[in-house]
Amino acid sequence: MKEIGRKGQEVLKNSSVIIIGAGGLGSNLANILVRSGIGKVAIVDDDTVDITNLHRQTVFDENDIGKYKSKVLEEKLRNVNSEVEIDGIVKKIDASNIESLVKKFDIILDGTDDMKTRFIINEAAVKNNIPWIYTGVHSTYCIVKGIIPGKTACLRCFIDKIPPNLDPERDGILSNLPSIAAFIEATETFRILLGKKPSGLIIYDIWGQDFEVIELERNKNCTCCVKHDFEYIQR
Amino acid sequence: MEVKITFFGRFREITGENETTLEIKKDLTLKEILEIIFKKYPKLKEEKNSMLFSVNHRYASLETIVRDGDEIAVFPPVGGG
Repeated sequence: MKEIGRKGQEVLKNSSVIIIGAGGLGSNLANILVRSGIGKVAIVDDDTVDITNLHRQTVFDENDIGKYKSKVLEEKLRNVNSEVEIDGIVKKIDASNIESLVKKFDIILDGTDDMKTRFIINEAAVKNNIPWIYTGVHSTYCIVKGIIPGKTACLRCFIDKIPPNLDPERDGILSNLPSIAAFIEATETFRILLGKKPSGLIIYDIWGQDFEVIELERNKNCTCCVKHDFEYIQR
Repeated sequence: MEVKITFFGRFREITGENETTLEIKKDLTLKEILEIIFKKYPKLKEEKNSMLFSVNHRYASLETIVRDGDEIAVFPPVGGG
């Protein structure tokens, strides 16, 4: 297809991505990207598979319960494409280890389920000039935003303080939503790796089938990408 | 003068609407627009600390001036994964 082409596929083959989190978003995303022929895929998560994950984390099955998610993904996805270098890392991302983990990758991908980790990722990405993609899901809707440091609005440009996490126990998550969000995030990954502009802030309510893309300008007073005050990763 | 407001995510359930329009007599800040919206949908005020906005598809702060014909989107930060 013309959007990628043979040359683009070569670019993807020579690209490396690190996925932070291997839950609904991260596990589905890893599956898509390995099948797409990305050359190197690292997946970081310290959690194990639980039976309550299986309706939305489509790579796992009952035999995986109790095993580390990142290791299960490494093992299973190797059988999908043995030419992709896959690294399942059992680790919890925090301010002390984020930079050393993400530095060697072309793009950082959001598979987390809390906003504080996203603020940490945002600072590490901006400080080290690595593109990243913010993606979140809740109830029936998702948000996806590709971020290229210095060129597009960063997370902090439009969310200045860590907002309270919404309660998924209260509202639930439609079982197919993380897969759909992961597919959108994967498309933004291809775009960024191939040198295209990210699409803006994508909001998709899959129940109402409402798709909105909001162009976001950089915040001239952004604490992170303008003032370079990296308060969440400072030690 | 009229502005259009579109709600996303749980704000649709709270307001019971996908979108609404407001009549305004002059240019207002987004903060002033919000006060009018909160009078129309009082339960929405409980969410005021977790709201993000755009005006005409561009990110907007509470100080952003809203003019006739502008389109405002109100959406939540989304943290699940």
